[in-house]
Amino acid sequence: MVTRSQTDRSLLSRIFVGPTKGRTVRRSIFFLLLLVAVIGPWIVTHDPIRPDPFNTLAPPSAEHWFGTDRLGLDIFSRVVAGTRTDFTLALIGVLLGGGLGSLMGAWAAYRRGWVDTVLLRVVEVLQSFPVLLLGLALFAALGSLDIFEPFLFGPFDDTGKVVLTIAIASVNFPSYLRQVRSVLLPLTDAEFVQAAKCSGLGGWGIVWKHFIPNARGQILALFALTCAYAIQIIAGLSFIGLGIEPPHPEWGAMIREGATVIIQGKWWASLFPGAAIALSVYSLTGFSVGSDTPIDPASPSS
Amino acid sequence: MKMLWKRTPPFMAAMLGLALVVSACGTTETVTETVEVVVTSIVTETETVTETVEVEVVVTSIVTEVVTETETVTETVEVMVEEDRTLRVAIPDDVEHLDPNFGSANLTNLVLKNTYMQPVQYLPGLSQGRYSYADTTSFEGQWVETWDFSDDSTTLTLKLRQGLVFPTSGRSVTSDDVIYTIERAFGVPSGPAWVLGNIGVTSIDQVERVDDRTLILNDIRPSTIVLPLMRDQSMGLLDSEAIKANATDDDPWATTWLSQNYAGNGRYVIDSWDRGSKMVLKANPTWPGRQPFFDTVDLIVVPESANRLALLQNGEVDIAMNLSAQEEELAAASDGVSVLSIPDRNSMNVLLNTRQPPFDNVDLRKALAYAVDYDAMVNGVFKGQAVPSEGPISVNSRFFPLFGLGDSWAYEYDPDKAREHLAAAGFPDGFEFELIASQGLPIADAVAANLKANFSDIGVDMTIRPVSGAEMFESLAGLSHQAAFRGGLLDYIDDPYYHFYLWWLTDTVINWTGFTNDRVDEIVVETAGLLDDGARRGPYREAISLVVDAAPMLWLANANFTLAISEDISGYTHHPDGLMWFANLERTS
Amino acid sequence: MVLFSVVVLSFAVTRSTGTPLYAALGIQVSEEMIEARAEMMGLNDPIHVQFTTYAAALLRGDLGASRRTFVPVAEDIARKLPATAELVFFSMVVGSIWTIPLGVRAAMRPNGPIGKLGEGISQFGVTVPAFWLGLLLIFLLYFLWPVFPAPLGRLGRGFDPPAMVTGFYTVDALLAGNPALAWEALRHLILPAVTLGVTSSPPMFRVTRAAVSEVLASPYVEAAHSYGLSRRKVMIRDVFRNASPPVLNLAAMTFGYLIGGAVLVEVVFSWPGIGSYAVWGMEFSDYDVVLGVVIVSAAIYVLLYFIVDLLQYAMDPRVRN
Repeated sequence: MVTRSQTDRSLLSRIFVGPTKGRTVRRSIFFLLLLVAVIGPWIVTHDPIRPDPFNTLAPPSAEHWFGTDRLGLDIFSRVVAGTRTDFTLALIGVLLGGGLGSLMGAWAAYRRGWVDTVLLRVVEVLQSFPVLLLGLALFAALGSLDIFEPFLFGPFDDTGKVVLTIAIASVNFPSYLRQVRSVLLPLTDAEFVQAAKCSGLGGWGIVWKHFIPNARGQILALFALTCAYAIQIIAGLSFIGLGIEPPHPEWGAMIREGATVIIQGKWWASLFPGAAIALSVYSLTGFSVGSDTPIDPASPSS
Repeated sequence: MKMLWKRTPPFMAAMLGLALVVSACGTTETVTETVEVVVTSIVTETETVTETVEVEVVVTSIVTEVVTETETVTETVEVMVEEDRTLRVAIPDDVEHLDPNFGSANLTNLVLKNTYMQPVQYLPGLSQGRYSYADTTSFEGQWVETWDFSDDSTTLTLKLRQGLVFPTSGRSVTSDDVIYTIERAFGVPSGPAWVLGNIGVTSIDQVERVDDRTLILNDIRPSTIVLPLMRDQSMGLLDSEAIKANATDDDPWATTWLSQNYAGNGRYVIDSWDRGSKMVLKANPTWPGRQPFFDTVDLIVVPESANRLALLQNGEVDIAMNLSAQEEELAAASDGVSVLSIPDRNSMNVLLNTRQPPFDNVDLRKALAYAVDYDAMVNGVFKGQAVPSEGPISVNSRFFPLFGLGDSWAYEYDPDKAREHLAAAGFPDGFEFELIASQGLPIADAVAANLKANFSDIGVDMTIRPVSGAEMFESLAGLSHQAAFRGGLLDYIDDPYYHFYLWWLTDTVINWTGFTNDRVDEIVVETAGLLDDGARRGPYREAISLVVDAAPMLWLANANFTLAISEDISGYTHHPDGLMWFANLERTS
Repeated sequence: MVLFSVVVLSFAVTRSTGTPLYAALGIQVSEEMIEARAEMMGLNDPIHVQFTTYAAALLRGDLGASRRTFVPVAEDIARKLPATAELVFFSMVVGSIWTIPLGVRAAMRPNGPIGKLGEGISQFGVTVPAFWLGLLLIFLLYFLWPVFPAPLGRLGRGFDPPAMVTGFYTVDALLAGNPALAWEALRHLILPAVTLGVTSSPPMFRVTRAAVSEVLASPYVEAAHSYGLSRRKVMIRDVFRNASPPVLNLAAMTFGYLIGGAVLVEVVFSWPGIGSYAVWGMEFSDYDVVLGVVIVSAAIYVLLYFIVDLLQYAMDPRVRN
């Protein structure tokens, strides 16, 4: 099944790769957004979760720059505050899934044999679920359980956040595993590996010290792509209603709120959060620039 | 063009005919004002029309010239006339199933109520303008022709109405059908068994068959709610033969078959059901009495409320159910649409679980009761389509003024008092808890978000967890929630005995707060058999004040029943269960 | 093998939490009713018994039934799958309309305006969330400027679906000799298809461009040119045939992915497909519904993968080695 994994890997890179030109602009936008994520709570004009029931669905004005939603919450403040939420969840999910995936990928490449086969199978199963349905299934199972109670802390103060993170991690685990594995597979028999073995270094040691650094470039390249994808998934799942505790701001959930009134012409509730998502993804493509020259789909390391 | 010609001969003939008629009487004045044209019979052959008669008609081909003198119409005229006798209703999701024994969601109950025949129903009361309330003190028999209580009210003799027929088979209704209906209720077991149990009928042995049309219910418990319970939508008469024909060994009561098929003889019959999209009801031709104005009711599934509103505004549907307060404002402002806002007993309550922390502490409950900004709730969240609550029994109940049930109400927006109670409870700096709210219910989002803000002002941190209907039910029944909000709570019967029996009796089935009070239990038992309002007044006043003082719920508001409806529909009768009765509706021009 | 794991996983996932017992019964209940119902639903059986019952039923094609409506899930899915399939099909048509021509052109002239246009559209399709785009289109082309009909599903209110042949309303209406109905169905398809198409086609553009340019750069194309064969002939004969495999590969995969991945667009446009069915099931804790959709989508995806692999094996000699 070599073909499948090739097309698969390069699929992700096909999606979120951006042109080299103008990447500085995009990178700057990203850092700006990152700044907003950090200082968000201090630059909002209103309390993002305090509704004003007498002022619902007000169009953008001097008082409410982006207008208010169905509950009378200020949209500008929520878009700003939501930056932190979406970025954090995406980042941690990707780190979790990507980290584990990379490790496992290196391990599979190194050990080969049955370890490799088993891991590949697991990954196949995970990848045959359409992403959103995987999220749906995870929420169905874990969303209402109380087992997360003892683990809730800090930014992860509700089950919705935890499940979203797990969903993102599950989506990223296979991609990273496959990518790292395919890069490192040819290296298993390389000389330096043999040398390391002779020097008495154990399996995990070799993986950690020698293997992974060789995949570093690939991993980093994948990182920006998968973060962008993660933001989209979080928004998508929240849009269907599987998200964080209301009324905390999150872009996808905000679009969901706005969707109910857009047919009546109240466009501002959905427009601004969606623009924020598009902007975030756009800015991330500044980091995963592909070449403008054509990529060879048949080569193993595209 | 050619195609067009081919299709218009009837129209052309009509116009030609009329033109000829007009030109034939040269001295006739052309009448240019619109006159009510009434056609008593549509004829396809020549006939002498000697008088103009009044009839209401919506004419699709517009006739602007009217002959006011008697004329012999000698031409064959085909006029297409259509009366809009179809009621189109946009509903939020599909009817779940068709088995009256398992009433659950309001929509399903609505259809069951209109398609199955209950023993009795309320008579309409005085008109309030565009709507009227049902008169909850008078009943008309539906399959029951007469009912007779014995002197001590422990025996009820029912006489079956003659001439009733099941429209799907043509078979006459007999008391065997009634007996089967009751047997099935106990056999499955399901809804109507509970209803019967409430009046003391717990076994089929209490039902005595006297003859083909007479039945006696023995050893019933005398109560003010016997007749009201008999109009519950779960008490629909079942076609025993049809159901028995579809019973199997695994499924002796044909629950699978009846969930998807129709075996009744209600005001309307189910004509077709395109699952997930549309259900069509047709007036039952065998119903004894006046036929309803609307001979067809289309129930069209439109999941998004904004879309339901759009259809109503376009005139494509006559009624749009379950719109949000926002959308109702828009509807009221649109041409041709209005919103019926009917003061009702729908109580918007937060249910607090008194059996576990933190709400096992009465001071914490009271703290919250004083922390709610009731004015913002009524006028902001409910947009003025509600009134402030004054206790467990709605201000709009018949019994509220009658028994003076608002005298013990104590709560109002007073954050200082709230903080006092917090301190008294030992939590001066606040506490945290979780509220579960019904997912997908727009009013739940708004209420929860506002409560969260109100409570955070006194240092209480409330987290909101939206849950599905199924999960909500489980939490409530299993008392595993801390606080819960599921929109309006409406008792199907307006009677204090019913209310206390459902909500406040220790461990009763929908006691979703875990409330328990020995004196209240005593009162419920004492008043069970009382039929005289004078005797009931005192005990219920006492019981109410006990419940209010314990604050097991946060009584936020009594919301109006609202319905967005086309302006040309009249005759809406509001029942205590909030379920629409299609038969009384009419279209006025 | 994969499918089996999918089933086990899905089952475990959805059985590990509550059941819609009370929702099915309503509030007029008593203890015995609850018990009887639980027994009837098989909820009191130990978990492995529940699983084997479920798996056995699955093999017979029985995906259980909705706990609320008692309609078998398989029946509902069979009814709704054509709706999703039609939407996905047209989305791919929309996608292909721009990706193939622009991709080929961009490969031939990498730095030309066409290439830049294609890249621009790709970028757009990637950054913009599909559901947001759908809402925007509804706002612009239905509310502000009523070009398209209300997003209420596959047909307007006064129309009845055509007799079922393929399940595609457009096709079935034409087969029934009713072009007006086919047009009505098409009008309702346009906005959702464009939304889904634009956001799912960027990879197609890039793969087309990459595949074509790879072939163009290959030695035998140069050789063909040097033989004096017209550009056109070269294009048709060699380029298309050799560039097709990865493109078709991707197309098939996208199709499979979109069957399950069209959920968001279906929700926005009230499209009665399997995606919105799963969301509906989720809202009511109707787990058999969610499970059924997940299994069917995964099965279709896996099946398509398999077919694609087979085709690739047959078509592309490089893979055989």
